[in-house]
Amino acid sequence: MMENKKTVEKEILTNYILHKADTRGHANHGWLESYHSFSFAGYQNPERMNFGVLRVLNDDSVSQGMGFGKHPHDNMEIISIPLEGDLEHQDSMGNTTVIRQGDIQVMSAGTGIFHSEYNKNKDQPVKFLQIWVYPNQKNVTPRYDQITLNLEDRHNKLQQILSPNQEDEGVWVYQDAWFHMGTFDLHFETSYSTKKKGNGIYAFVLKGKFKIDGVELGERDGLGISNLDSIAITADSANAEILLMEVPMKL
Amino acid sequence: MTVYSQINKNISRYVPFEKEELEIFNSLLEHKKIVKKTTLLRAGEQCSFEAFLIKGSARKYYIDGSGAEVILQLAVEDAWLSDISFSMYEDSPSNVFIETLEDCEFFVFSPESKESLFKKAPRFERAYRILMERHLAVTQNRLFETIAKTATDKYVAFLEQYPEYANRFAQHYIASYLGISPEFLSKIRNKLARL
Repeated sequence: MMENKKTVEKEILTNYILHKADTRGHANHGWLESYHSFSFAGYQNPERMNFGVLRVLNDDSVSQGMGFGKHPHDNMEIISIPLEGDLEHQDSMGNTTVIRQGDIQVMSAGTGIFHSEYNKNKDQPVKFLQIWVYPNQKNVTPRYDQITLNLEDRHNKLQQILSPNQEDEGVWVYQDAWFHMGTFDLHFETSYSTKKKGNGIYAFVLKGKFKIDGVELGERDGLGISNLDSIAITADSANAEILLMEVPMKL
Repeated sequence: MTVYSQINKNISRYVPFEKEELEIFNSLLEHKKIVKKTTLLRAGEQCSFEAFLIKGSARKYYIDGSGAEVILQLAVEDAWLSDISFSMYEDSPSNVFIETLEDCEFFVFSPESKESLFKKAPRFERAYRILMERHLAVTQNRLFETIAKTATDKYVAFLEQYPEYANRFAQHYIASYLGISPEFLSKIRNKLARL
């Protein structure tokens, strides 16, 4: 049987790395419960240091009224995506803001910044993803941005929430990275092609079940795909939600 | 000489351990390699490790509400690094940060492996008790020095106690450790150089 050369090439070259949800580092400090997809704080695993320039993916839950006191960052793009509740951010540039589900916040730490993050509510936890991406420029002037996205624009569609370009949809970062989020009906099929050749994709399932190029993923599973042009995505449950992070593979 | 020689020498200062005891000790240690500028502990978290620095340097620091940093410990090879929340139970989160400043190699205890050590080789309780007493004495002395000594005297005492540190750590870290501003430390160093 003659196999299409392109198919054979894709099957040989595309690389998949699966990070099941329960293989993540886990820390429960009472007021904070956190799952770390990559090494962070007390979870240090040399085999889970990064996926390309994606360095940290934390799945955090912070109790009512609690949070992280002032702490420093530098030379990192820090992206926060609230999933439930309200997160209050205060930084050394003088910004005080609250972000909630549907918002996305980015901080280019650059030459250095201090910030605190607190659960604004006294009656419910706040759940959010905190994502760190290495910038493609060092020592930039620190900056902060946040936007509110229309949740309807991500129904059965991959909505762009982050890109390298100021004029594009979503927030912008100092990196050739594109993030998309989508909420899908059962059996909905879509695909995603990388916008920059050589970039990889780290997919993180927020809710439900998906199949990506045939790999089955459950809630909070992560799949890193590299050496690819595009991936095929199928939602295997109703209201399935996914975050796709396209990032350069070279640090 | 094995990878354990350094830590065994360090702990045997307080109690002359037998070979079998040191073997138990070594079997409970976890070896970790961590790149520089990694935050191992954040304020609010419960410290889950007691670490021995085999190679590298790290700092333990506190940040106040206005963002001012106070360094509590500058650690190099042969130092123990942890927070008191390691031995407290659930209710006592750390109020300090621990960060590596160079690429580091550690031996690490978890609360469970530490307890296991004391059960299997009880004489280690004595070693750690003495280590804690010494640490308390150093801390008490540092408290007194911070309050009572002049900035210049503090810096001179620091150079005498830790001669290699001035070359190992950035000046602003040393200033923070001594409780003085980086500008004032610069002035002190210039003055001492001219003597």
